[in-house]
Amino acid sequence: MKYDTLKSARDEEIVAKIITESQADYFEIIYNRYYRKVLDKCYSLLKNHQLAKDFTEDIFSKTYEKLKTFRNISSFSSWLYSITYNHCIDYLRHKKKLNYPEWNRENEIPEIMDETEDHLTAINYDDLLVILDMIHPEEKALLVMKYQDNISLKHISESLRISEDATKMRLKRARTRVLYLYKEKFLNK
Amino acid sequence: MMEQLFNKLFAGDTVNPPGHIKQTIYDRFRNPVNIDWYLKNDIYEAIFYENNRENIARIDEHGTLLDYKINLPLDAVPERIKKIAESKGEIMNVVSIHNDNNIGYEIIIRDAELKRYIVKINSEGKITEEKLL
Repeated sequence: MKYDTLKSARDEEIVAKIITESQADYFEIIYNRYYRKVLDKCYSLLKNHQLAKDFTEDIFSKTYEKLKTFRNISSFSSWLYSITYNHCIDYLRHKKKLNYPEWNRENEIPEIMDETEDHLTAINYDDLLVILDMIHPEEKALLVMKYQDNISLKHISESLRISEDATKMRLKRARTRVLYLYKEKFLNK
Repeated sequence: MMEQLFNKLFAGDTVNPPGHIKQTIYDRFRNPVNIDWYLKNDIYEAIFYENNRENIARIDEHGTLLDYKINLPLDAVPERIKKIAESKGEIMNVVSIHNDNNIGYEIIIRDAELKRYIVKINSEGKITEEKLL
């Protein structure tokens, strides 16, 4: 299969070609396809344009190096995004001394609100984005990995280096926090 | 893509279990709040709050409670368990595991080099598993 034909191929097909035919050039298709998405994810967590750009390059290098370990159990995009979140969260934990348990203790949710209440149907999309920037980056990463990128709980837990049960519980808490903050900021005016 | 997150975040992706499964939760727990139900390999899993703590309970298809887990704040962890865990590093997460009248603990530890480990401690205070995450 020629380079141009591969441009419209599925990610997994391209990855298989890179591995079996040792065609490193084909990785450019993956890079072009996902550069913007990876960059946006990095920026959403790091909030620094230059750092996000540098990280995006690092993530693609890391992904290329690990390509032979990719198994088709999950989609390639989920796998790439897991690497992306892992890279950003590890950086925030190490360099920025990000400490989720400490933050969680200091930011206890005052009220576990009833999620069946009707007013939650009136939630506005732009307002939700504001709330996502108010929560801890680890909680934001969890919610986006699970509900936007459809990454499995197993991969989320591996990516964030927490157990699967802790992942489920933190997801629950993150969702509860978003709902609480939303209610406080936008519904209780 | 963000709109997908928006919809799923509030709609959830849960199942609706039969009445006898739900009843097990209400019989066993005093005030479960915001219960999300999941089904995997014929085992129902309920994730909910009780006393502001996240709980996960597993129930079989006959309605038998198999086990449940509670996310513990640091001040709710028994001192002797905390001491054992802290000898390994900084505690990042603690879950207590309850089954057959036994309580075990699944603890995530971060060492001085910020490497993360999962350490399992049984009710006698013995470490039963320790692995790098």
